[in-house]
Amino acid sequence: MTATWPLATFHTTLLALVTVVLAYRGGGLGEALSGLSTLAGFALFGVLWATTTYTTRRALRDAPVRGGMVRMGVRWGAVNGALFLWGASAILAATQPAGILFIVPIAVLGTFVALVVGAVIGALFGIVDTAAFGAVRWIVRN
Amino acid sequence: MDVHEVTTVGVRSLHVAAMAVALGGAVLVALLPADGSLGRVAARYELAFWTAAGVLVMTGVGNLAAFGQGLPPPSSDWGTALVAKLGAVALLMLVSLPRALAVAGLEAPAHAAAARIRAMYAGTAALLAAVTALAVWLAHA
Repeated sequence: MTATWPLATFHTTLLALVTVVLAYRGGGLGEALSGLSTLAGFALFGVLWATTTYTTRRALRDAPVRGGMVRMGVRWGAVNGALFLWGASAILAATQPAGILFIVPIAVLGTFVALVVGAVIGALFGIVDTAAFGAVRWIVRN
Repeated sequence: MDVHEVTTVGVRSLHVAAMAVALGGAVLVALLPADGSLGRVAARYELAFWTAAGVLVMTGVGNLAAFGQGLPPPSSDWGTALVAKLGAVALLMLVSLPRALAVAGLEAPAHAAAARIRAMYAGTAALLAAVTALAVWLAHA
């Protein structure tokens, strides 16, 4: 087993959990979820899981030679943000064809925002991942 | 049963099955001897654990969606228990990550490391049992 699968799933699930808790405490979760079919919700989660697995694999490969987990978190987090936005837009366009005239421009114009948000989230996960790798040294010491 | 009910039952069944894999596997690995064989079994469990974790979060959100607009407010007892459960799941993910990374980097851990990793699986099982207890309360409140 490599570190990619645990790290990618950790990033995906923690991001989903934080988003759900913030939306629930803000009072908008019920409305947001009721406007989404189960299949579309699973597809959105699946896209996030897949794009995060791809970008985590690339970040782990590049981190030792290009400047550590935080720097790679910024770079590949930004890529992940854009990939997820495009994937989510494709799912919304497929499930709500009537809204395609709005979805396509939002996907294009939202890419910059997705890059920035993804970079910030990637940097935060880079810090958490660095701490986790530090804890590994304590676990495996003799 | 209509399509909506079938989907709801399917999502809940998948949720329960994923928790069974995560909790049952953690108990099993925690009961193994702390020797070189632990690493191989633990590596297989980690694949199953993280897959189950993803499925649990995905189907958990699906279960919340079944409430629709009728989701109890965060200020209710139910809402407080839900936030506590989601917090416990987040904590579980946080403490499981170093354990999984340690297992990923070790083929056959030395006795001290194997004993430490085995203890972490016991802790994982305890946290999973606490999450399950909160889930049972939420389902029957």
